[in-house]
Amino acid sequence: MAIGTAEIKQFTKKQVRRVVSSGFDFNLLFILATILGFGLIMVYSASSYVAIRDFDARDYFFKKQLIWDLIGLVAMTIMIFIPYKLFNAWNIERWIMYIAAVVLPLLVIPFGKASHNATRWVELGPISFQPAEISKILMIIFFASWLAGIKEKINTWKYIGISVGFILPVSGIIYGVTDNLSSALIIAMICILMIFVASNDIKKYVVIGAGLAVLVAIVIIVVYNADLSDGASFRVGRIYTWLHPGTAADTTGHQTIQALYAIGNGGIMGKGLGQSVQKISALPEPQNDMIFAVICEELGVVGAMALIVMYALLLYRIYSIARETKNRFAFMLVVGVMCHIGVQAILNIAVATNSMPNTGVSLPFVSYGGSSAVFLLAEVGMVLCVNRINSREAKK
Amino acid sequence: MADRRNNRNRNINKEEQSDRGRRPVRQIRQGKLNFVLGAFVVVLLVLAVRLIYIVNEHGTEYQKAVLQNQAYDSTILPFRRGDIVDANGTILATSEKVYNVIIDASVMLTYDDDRYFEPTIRAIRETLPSLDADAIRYYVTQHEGERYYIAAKRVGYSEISAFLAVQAENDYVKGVYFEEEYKRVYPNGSLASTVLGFTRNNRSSEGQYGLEEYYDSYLTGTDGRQYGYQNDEDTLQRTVVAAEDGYTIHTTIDANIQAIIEKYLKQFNDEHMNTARQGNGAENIGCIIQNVNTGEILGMAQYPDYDPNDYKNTDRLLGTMLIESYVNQAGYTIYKTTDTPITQEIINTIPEEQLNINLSNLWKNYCISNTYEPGSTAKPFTVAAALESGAITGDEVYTCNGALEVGGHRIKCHTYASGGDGAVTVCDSIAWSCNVALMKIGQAMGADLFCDFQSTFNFGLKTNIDLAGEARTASLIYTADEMVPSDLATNTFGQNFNVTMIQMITGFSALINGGYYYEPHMVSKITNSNGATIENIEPRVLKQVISESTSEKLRQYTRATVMEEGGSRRTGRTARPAGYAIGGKTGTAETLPRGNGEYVVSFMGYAPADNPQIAIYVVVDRANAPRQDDAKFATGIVRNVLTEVLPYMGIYMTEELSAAEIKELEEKQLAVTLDQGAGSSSSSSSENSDYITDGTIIDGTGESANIYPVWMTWPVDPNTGYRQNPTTGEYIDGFTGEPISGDSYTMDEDIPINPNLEYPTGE
Repeated sequence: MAIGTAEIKQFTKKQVRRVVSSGFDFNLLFILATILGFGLIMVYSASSYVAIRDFDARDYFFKKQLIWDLIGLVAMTIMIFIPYKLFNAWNIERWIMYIAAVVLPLLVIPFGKASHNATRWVELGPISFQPAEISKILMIIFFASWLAGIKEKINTWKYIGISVGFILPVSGIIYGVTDNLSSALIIAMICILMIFVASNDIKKYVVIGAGLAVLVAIVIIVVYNADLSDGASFRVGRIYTWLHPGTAADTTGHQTIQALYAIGNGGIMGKGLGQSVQKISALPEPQNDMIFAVICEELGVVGAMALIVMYALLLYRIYSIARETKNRFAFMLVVGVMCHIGVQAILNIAVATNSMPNTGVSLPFVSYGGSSAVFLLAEVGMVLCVNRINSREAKK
Repeated sequence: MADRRNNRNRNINKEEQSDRGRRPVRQIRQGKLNFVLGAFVVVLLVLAVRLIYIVNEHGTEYQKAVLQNQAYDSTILPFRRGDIVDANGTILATSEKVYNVIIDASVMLTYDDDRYFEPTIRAIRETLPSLDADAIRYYVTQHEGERYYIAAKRVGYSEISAFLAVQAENDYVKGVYFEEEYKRVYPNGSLASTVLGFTRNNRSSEGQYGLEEYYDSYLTGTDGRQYGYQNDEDTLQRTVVAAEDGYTIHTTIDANIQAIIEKYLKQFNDEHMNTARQGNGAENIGCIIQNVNTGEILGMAQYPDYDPNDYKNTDRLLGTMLIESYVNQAGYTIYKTTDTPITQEIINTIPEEQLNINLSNLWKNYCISNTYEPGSTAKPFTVAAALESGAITGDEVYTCNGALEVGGHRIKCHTYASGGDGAVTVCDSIAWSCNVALMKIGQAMGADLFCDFQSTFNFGLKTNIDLAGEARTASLIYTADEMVPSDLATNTFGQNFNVTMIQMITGFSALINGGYYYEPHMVSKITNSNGATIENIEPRVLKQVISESTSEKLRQYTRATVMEEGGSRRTGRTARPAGYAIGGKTGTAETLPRGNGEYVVSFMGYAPADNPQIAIYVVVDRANAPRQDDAKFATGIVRNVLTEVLPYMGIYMTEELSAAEIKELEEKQLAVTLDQGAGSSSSSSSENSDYITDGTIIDGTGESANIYPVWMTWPVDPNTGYRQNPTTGEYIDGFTGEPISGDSYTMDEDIPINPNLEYPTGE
């Protein structure tokens, strides 16, 4: 009522001018736009057969993804202009966010929608979304706020324990209720990396790292020698196929071995855009978690490398913003987002190249998927907001 | 506001201070951040290496697996590359369906009693003679599970039809199937080869050179696919996504005109082969015929050419000059044409990479990709520019003493040996091809104006003809500020700057048609595979370069170069085809380095003279003859080509035929199409009378007639019939005063040249 369109216009104009004239990170924006554009093209290419088969329209997924990307860009723009301190103004906020991160995945119990043998979506009227994606962004903000709040106490074993303790309910619920191991893992990894960066101690982490390495090694050795004849769990099976690719091309390892076939078929230079054979029927949902294999098949190692380089550049830009950040909360926020993008990209590529057991992780900004696109872009918006305020403060 | 900011700053400072403990906390945190970024980047790198490892170690194995899958549940339906047809619909390039013979060993060996295997092998032995049945038998027994073995590639339908018939009758013939593919075919062999180009390995995509490359995106379609998938009820379903065929390109080329041109280029080559040196009749011969009034190309050919069906065949290289590449001191690769004609022995011995350089030179379209100094064919452009700009009126009379002193250099006319042309009108300057008059005209214009008009006529710019590989010539012409007087002088008569053939003929068409510069083009229409028009390409006027009145004068001057009214000293009379009046201009350009007796001769003309319809341009690059500087090499080809092309185009003859000419036409089995009706003969005579009543011309010729050139007083040698220079002993043509017919001359080596012309890359 009080604010007319003229005021909004004037405000927007002023804000835009301010952003353009400050040291705003257009490099980051440019890299992001390149990855997004690349992603749209690949979604179109990867999904076209499935789209024709199931929806009778070649561009079905492409159009939807385009809309999601646009919504994500709007969300990003909004986040740029919301001062990040609003998320850390009162102590109560962080606890609300934490509780939301825990509770949201529980919504799939009453409102869940099953898809691909797993209930990961929440359907509320016309909107359906993956609560795990929201939990990720909430946990990043919560942890940034928490770590900024406890300051140097994080250097003690006690607070490390408490912090790790926060992770368990969220990851546990996401894994337990939605059967989504990958999201649970990603959240855990983001938070652990944030704790690692927040503290100024090194020795403790050497100990932790060594402990983790031993644990993983034991699991691998046990599974490698496992006898799969009776009732071994689904996860163990996946680890087994990872260690023995090709032995079970028709069962659990089907996806992985088909992805490897796609990579091999693409060779160095690729079959050419749109020429993937594997996307037609061998790779289930090629526009989704296995889109990297389609990229390899169509654009070859060369195209895949280009994408990897773009990710490295994006991470580097976010890293540069973190370096310039003096505010503890903002610093941790940027680190969290950087870890999110880095971890998710690495896990996805690692799965496609059979460098780790198969678990469904989407490729950031590239894979088809609305929730992931919108929240990732919103996270980038927060980073750009930090950058905006940094450069404004640097000027003063 | 300020208070709050201070507060905040203080808070930050406090935080900073608390961070500053015994050790620089922030530094450690930065170090950890560096570590995290570093870890991300290292892991990404490791994954990239892993990718390369997968491709290297398992690439072929996985590829095979994919092919096996694919053969089973999905097949590609290949698109058909669009045709290229000529103006009359004659097919110049088309696509033929061929078949890959695929053996599915696992199907053949389905039963242990070999109930499929033996009948199938027998059927192969009996009906597919091109396949080795025993080898297939051996392969199948060795590779039991193999689903996809290519036994033969790209065989025609006629070769497999017998097998298909057997397969249809006998249910036990199983495990052989045929994968469709298209093969690019050029039914007329080498006809228009350099215009068409070819496709890589004669497949459906990747057009190379010419129209195939330029219009590749139109000619290429999209593959379709037939594939099976498991639906929700786990039953196998088949879906077909049909292929989208490529578009058909309708060129403006007329295959008949093209064939006539190629016939005479080859005839020239055969007549002059191995005369003065081993090898082809000339290093290059090119010819373009263009519609003067639309810019459409009706024919474009060169010798040597090649067969796009078999474009890697090295036979066509025989007799061409060997090109060698080497890297110069500055690190650039230089391609140098040697004086060695290629022989079979050279082909057998040179490294493949050098052979490929020579092959790709063969595939280049000389008419658009090569640059050279045009010589006197540039004179009409200089005169047109001078007239249009008002630097001359057309009434001037110049005096030629055989050479002109410019910028400290003595630049000769082709009549230098015979003492000069004497008095030269503007018309004579073209008809007689007088360098001195042209240099004086150039001086009247000045460098600025001259260079302006060069770009008006598109010299130095691409014509943007719709063919791949047009040369850039921007560095091969002068700009006004770098031009010294001797450059201007040599430029006026077409030396010391480079052009492409397409630039010359397109500009010349504009000079003749009233000044309208049309974008030259090869394609008039694009249709889809159903014949529906996708795009019509209309002639496009880019600019008016000269006025109609200047154009009219140019038509007179160039007509006088060929026809009777030009007098006995006209240089182009040997280009006139029997029964027709045409206009044109000869050119003889000395190549670099100067003084070694190598020339590019050419003729550029239009026909018919009273109603120009076509322009023709023939270039003979370094003819294989004891003396290369004879424009008759080019005019002879023009005459031969026009003698057949003009009647073919339905253009009536207007000129009286001599007994010899009638006999020539009879020998060529061409009808005399002389129109005896009032219409055209009166129009031609009125054209003539108009011409004669033109005041300036009468004055011009009248004046010049009074002054006899020196050479006319020289004695006639009884043996040869030529006049002989008493001092030098050189023979002079008794009618024209030229040392051998033509407009050649030798330029002194001290005249500066544009250094960029030394090795024009033509790229």
